[in-house]
This record gives sequence, C-alpha cells and structure tokens, in this order.
Amino acid sequence: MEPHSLLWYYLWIAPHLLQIPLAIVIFKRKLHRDFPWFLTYTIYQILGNVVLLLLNHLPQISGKSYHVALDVDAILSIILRFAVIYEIFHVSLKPYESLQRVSSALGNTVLISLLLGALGVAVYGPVPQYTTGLISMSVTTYRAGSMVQCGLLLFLFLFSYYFRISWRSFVFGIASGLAFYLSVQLAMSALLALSYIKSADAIDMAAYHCSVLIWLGYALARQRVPVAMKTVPNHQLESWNLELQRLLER
Amino acid sequence: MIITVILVVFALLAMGALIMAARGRSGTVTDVAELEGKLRPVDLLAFRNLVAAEEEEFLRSNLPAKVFRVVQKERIGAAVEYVQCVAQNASLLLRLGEAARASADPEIANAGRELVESALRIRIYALSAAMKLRARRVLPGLSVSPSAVSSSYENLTGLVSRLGRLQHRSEQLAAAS
Repeated sequence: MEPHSLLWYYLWIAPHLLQIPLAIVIFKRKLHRDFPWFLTYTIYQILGNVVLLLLNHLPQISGKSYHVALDVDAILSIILRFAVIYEIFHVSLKPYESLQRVSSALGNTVLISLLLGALGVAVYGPVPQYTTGLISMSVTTYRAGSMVQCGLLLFLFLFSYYFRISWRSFVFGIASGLAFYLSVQLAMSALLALSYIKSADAIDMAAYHCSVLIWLGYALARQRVPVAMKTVPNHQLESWNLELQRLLER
Repeated sequence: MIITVILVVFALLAMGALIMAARGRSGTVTDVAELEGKLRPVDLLAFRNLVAAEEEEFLRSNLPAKVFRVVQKERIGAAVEYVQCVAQNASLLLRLGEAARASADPEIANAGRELVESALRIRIYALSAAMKLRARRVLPGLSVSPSAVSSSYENLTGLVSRLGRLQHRSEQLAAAS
C-alpha cells in the first residue's frame, strides 16, 4: 500500500460517507420509486468503496490484485451509471408522450454513434505508455465509458433545452451531478492517456465529491411544484384566433 | 494528440450544456402573467404565401432567373424566421400548458396536457421545417411542405383559446360560489 496524504483520504472517504445520508434521504422521501437504479448505484458506491478501502490496506493483497479489483469496480460502476442515465431519460420524458418516439429514435442513433466513437478511440486513441497494462486498461475503460455516458447526457441536455422540457428538481440534480463528474473524468482520462498527471486521482475524487454534494443538495431540496395557471394572455389569443378565422374563411 | 483534444473539448461541451440547462431551468416561468407580451404574433397567411408552390411558380415564370433566385432566397429566409417565431411561441405556450396541467380543475388540466403535446409537436415540426427550408435555400429544386407546421399551429392556437375559455368559465364559477 502506498502512503497517501490526509486530503487524499478525505477525498476518497468523505463522498462515500455522504452517500449514506443520500441513500437514507432517497428512501425516506420515497424517491427510490422513480429512481431505483440511482439508489442501487449509491448503495453500490458505498459498499464497493468500503471493500476497495479494505483491499488497499490489507498487506496480503498485492498491487496487481488491487488493480484488478479497481477495474472490476470501474466496469460495474459504468454499467450502473448506464442504468441511471436510462432512468434519467425515462423520468424526464415520461410526462411528454409526443416526445417519446422522437427521443428514443434520436437517442438510439446517438448511442450507436457514441459506441462506435468510443470503439474508435479505444482502438486508435493514445494508450498510456508510462504504466502497467492493468492501469492502462483502467484509463482506457474510464475514457470509453465516460465518453459514451457524457455524450448521452449532453444529448439529453440539448434535447431538453430545445424542447424546453421542465426538469423535476431531483432528476435534474442526478443528471447535473453525473454530467459534472463524467465530464471531469472524461477530460482527465483523455489527458492521462497522453502523460502522467500526479494530481489526477485527487481531481477525479474531488469531482465525485462535488457530484455527491449536488445529489445530496437536490435530494434534500423541496421538489418543485408547478405553478397552477391563474391568468391566460387573452388579448394575444384573441388576435391569433381572428387571424386564424380570416385564414379559414379564405 | 488530436483525439485527446477532441475528447477534452467534448467534456467541456458537456459541462457547457450542463450550465446552459441549469440557467434555462432557473429561467422557468413561474407566473403565467410573465408570458404576456412575450408571445410574438405570427402571420400564418404570409407564411403560407412564402412557401406556396403556386407563388413560387408565378415568380419563376414572371421574373428573370437571376432575380428569381435572389427573391426566392429572401422568401425562404423570411419563412425560416416565421418558423423560428412559431417555435418560440410554442415554447412559451408549453409553459402555459404545464401551468394549466397543474390546475385542480380537470378540464383545465386536460386542456393543458393537450396544449403541451401540441406545443411539443410544433417544436418537432419546426425543427424539420427549418432544416428543410435551409436545405432548399442551398438546393432550390427541393420541395417543402409547410402544411405540417401550419396545420399543427392552427391546432395549437385552437387549444389555447379552449384553455382561455375554460379558465374564464372556471373564474366565473369561482366568483359565483
């Protein structure tokens, strides 16, 4: 085990400790009914990191075994994040029936393009030359995973922006926290493939810490209740109606 | 190196989209009265004239080819502006529909739901219509059907008036009770 600074330990442990109240709040506010995968991801992150922390400190665990565990954790986290992203799409588009067909057609096209892009980057992109094969594989896996997931969230943000979709507080919180973390992870893994960055781990963990704070903040915040209609801009509507009548009469 | 730069730019774009979404979210209309004055009037007839095939044929046969191309480009440019204006109005009406959807009165809520659906359909049609019009500006031979946008827009305005009537009736009932 390598010696680490106090800040490093803080950045590793604190976000996962904060995920405990996050899971409790999700459960208490019954948010898990709409976001079961996000709750699963949260619980997995807590338990997975307890195991990783133990493995990191057990003298009988070799560096190689520890990195295998890290890679397994990375793959499981990526799979769970895909489920969370699917959940974000499902929840945010559920109230808009007419958008569902368009979004699924566009979403599938974007997903296929991103997967092909990630495959291309994995095959032709730079591979870290300064480290062992296992760490190099981690960097490549993180880069591919965060590229596809970041792209899906980018698509969702642009799609919602164009259609002016109203986000419910918590789903926006999950999406923004995840997008923030994934974009930092994507940038870091892309740069790490070129050269070694000493503070890369700390930056990644700090980004995750920020994401957890965003999730916790949105989970604790009161859910936005749509403002019920009180007035309608009648004068405007009348002029439109007149215009339409004139149009229909001709 | 190029792939790394592309990926970093992609990550920055995602971050930018996140900020844009957050800002867009904070700009959500919370009072329907805010919408007044924001809706821009759209002249459907003028729009239909701009994209009518007969009108285009008439201009083609009466104007010299060079002048026709210039005029046609301007006409299509104006049509694109109309479509963007309709789409902008639809996004404001979407907010109105969402506010109506939250109403305790089931009729207003239902009209609100229909308004939301129609506004979204307009945004879909407007996107494809604007793309087709722009393509037509580049390739003048391409045909464009504006009927999807205009008929959907008629449908949308009809829904808004229905919503207005329901709201008015609801206020009358509230005043009477």
